[in-house]
Amino acid sequence: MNSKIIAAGVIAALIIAGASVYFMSNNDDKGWYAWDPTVGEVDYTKITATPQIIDSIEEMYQTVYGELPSTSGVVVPEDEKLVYESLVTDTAGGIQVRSVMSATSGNDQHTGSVYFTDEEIENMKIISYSSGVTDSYVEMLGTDNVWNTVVAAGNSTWKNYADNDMENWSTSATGTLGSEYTISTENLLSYLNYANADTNGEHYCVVVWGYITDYDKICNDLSDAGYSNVDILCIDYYSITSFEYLLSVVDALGQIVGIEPEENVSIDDFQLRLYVMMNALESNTDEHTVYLERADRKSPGADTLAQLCFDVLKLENINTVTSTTMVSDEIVLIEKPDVIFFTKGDTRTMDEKMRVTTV
Amino acid sequence: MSEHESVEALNAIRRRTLRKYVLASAVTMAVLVIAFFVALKTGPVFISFDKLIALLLGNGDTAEVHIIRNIRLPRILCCAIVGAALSVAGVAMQGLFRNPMASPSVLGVSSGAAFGAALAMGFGIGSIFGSYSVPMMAFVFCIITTFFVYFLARTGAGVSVTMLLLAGIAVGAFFNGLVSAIQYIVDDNVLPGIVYWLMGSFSSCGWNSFGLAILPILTGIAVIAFCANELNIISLGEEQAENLGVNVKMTRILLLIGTSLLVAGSVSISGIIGFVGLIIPHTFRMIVGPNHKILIPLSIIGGAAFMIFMDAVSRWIISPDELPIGILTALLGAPFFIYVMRTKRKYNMGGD
Amino acid sequence: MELRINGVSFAYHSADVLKNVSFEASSGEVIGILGKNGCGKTTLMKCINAHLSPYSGCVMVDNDVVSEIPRRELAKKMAIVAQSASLSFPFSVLETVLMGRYPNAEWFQNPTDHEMELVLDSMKATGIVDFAERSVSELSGGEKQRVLISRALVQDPKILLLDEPTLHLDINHQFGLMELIRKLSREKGLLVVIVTHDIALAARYCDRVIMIDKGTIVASGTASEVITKDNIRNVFDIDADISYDEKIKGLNVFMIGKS
Repeated sequence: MNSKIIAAGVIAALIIAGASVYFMSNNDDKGWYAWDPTVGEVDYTKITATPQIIDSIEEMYQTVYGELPSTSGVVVPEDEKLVYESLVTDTAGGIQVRSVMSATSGNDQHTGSVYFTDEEIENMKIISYSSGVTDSYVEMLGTDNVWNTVVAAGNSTWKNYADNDMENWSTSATGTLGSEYTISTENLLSYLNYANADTNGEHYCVVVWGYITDYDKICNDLSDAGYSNVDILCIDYYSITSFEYLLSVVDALGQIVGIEPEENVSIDDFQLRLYVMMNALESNTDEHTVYLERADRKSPGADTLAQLCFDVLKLENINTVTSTTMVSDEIVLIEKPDVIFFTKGDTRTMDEKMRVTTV
Repeated sequence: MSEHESVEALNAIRRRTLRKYVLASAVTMAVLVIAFFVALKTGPVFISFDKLIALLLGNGDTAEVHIIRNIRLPRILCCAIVGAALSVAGVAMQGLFRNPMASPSVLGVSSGAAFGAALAMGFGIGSIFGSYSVPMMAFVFCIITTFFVYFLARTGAGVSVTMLLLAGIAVGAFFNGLVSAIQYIVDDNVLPGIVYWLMGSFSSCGWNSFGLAILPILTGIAVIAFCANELNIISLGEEQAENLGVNVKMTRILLLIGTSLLVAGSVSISGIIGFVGLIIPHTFRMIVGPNHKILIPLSIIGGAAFMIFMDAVSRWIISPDELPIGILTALLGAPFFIYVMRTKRKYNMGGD
Repeated sequence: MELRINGVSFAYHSADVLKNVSFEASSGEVIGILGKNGCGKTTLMKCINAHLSPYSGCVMVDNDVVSEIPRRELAKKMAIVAQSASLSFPFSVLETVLMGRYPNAEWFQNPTDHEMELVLDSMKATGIVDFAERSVSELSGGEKQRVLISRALVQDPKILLLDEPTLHLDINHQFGLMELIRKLSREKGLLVVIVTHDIALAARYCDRVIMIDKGTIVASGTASEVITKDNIRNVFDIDADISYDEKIKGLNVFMIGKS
């Protein structure tokens, strides 16, 4: 009986092998090329709540519609400009900026105001706890000048900008301020000490993007250590779900360092580049469906920043759920999106991404 | 004269036992078939039950045929072979270490495989394998880790299971650290891919995956199945086994090779999936006893059924999104295991 | 079949446990190895079945050194019931006994009728046939011992090594076992080496006795030559009375008390 069992096992194995050979050789798979979609690549890290998001929109525009409409000589009509609510109100001798920290479980959402006098604004140095904040300042001030204003930063900034002029300041600074997810008071105080912050006449604003676990404690630690010239400003990243609010944030970041809204090139640039694309597509009646897949196979859904980009470009996202989720291959097969975006840095080969080979 | 005192009576006992085993196999096989069809039906695109067979044969709407034959079917088969592989590897490890807590991960091989995959995803190492760089790197590092652990465990007195265990844990921890380091270093663009892979999933398994994994898995199962007799005897103790003529050293090596192939084949297509190698052998051991000649076949069938079923659940529970299967096996597996452990104490290993 | 122990010396770390032990045995003999606990008896057994390697001397079966015989071949000739063997998994008694056929069995074949006869006979002889379907983990210590003995017999060996086989057995099973041993040695020429500290048992059932004290042989010869009042006093510190008993046709040892 034992040898019969072995025989049964061997036969079963042969059947499985045979069946799979049959199926594999009957596989006509062209994968997702079967309906001839337009395929493009997007830098997903730029789809963030910073002015750089316009780069991504332009990338996508070019993939789908071809050459970008020219911006030279174009003036955005007043009624076409994005209208945004300012986070900043003028006060006598300075400004008041709304500070909003994202709510996290266990923490109440912190809202408050931070006051800056004109004098402080003139001597403002930014300590950036977010690569998004740094990116925004880079857009506003240019890479040559920004490092005079943004004087210390968290890990992402170091990773992203280390090759620039930041090098000069990175060797003289005491090191990064650590991860953006929890402010290391120690690192912060260490930097301030190094910079002689209490006596050098500068004013510091620590800009936090996201949430910090104990706002009040850090403020107390700072004043206990003798730093009365350091403020903490919170920008609620997770509330930036519209371009309008994005501009509000950029405006606020600019005003802290003395850039008036009318002079904020970032905002102007954004408005212009957005306008020319929307204008070019106004008469567009084509409806294209779109699917964006990240390296982890997840796809941004209906309430994401990516969706904002799609809306501008009149692309209908096949992922209709809110948040970023995985869309099954089956659904992609049924929906047959006209446009498929993959992200930069996705190490899969094109064949893998387009499901020609499935491993 | 007692009723047992004849060769016929003894043979009758053996036949009774065999019938019990055949029954258990038949039931498990039935469960497997049910799981197969349930899984075939599950998916974000609704396909009615009566169409399934027709679609399998290629008749029907092209998109639906493609979904059934090229998306769901290969995926289910991959689940089956990985489920079988991890279960048999678990049986081997528990027999080798004579410990019910042993599972393939104890040798540190899954950590090694994760490291290989992370190298491929993070730095493009292994590009000579083309599209298959990630699974091949995982596979290769799995095997390398096995050799590494084995040679680390060799002392002047040979290789003892205690040394293997210690070496495996140390090497596993080491590779885990390296994988974490890689996750820390890489670009934000690449990181999600690595994290996702580590959670274990069959969502990218197609016919190519099946073709890649079937050979090492079948070989690994064969190697371990052929050691069934030796596993039985070794489980009573290595000294006893040697006294009965078992070549313990050779058996150990075969078990290691078999396990290595099984884990390598599985991890390369589905990432790291835990618990299966612990739950399935143990469950069947409680049902049919410690005889590896039935334990191994049942683990194959049962492991396949379990994995197919878990994967179907992972596709259904937060549909249309998918829950990575490693999360599911841990969340469902652990409480189930505790329950079975408590209600059937007397069948536990090492009862004495 | 000849079993030769030639000048075997063994040490754990630096302490000598066996010093230059030599003796011989042939088919059909029942050899008793007698001594106090810790004198090296079990170590000697482990050297005989090549589990341990002596640093000096060797053990030979006919013309082969045991440590050079492949495990499987050795298991066909020699079976051991070790003191420390445990049966901790719920295999059935029948399955366990059948494991004894491993060295001889064809790969993945069912046991032949001849093999099943062997199994039946050995189980009948040790009185465990009724337990055939029961799980070994449910058995008492003595019952497990008998399963182990049965399994060893099923190996159909030429040499049987028993380390303290009567430890857990009831009196009637002790007798049963020793009668079986005697019968097998007489009828089948089985060479049996029994390690025991039961002097009475050795006296009654062993053809020859080797008395070991602190790792060396202090006396060797027939039962009546070795089991003497003096030897017992020297090795065991016990006064005993020894006489030949007509009823059992063997030595009767009566323990009097500490000397």
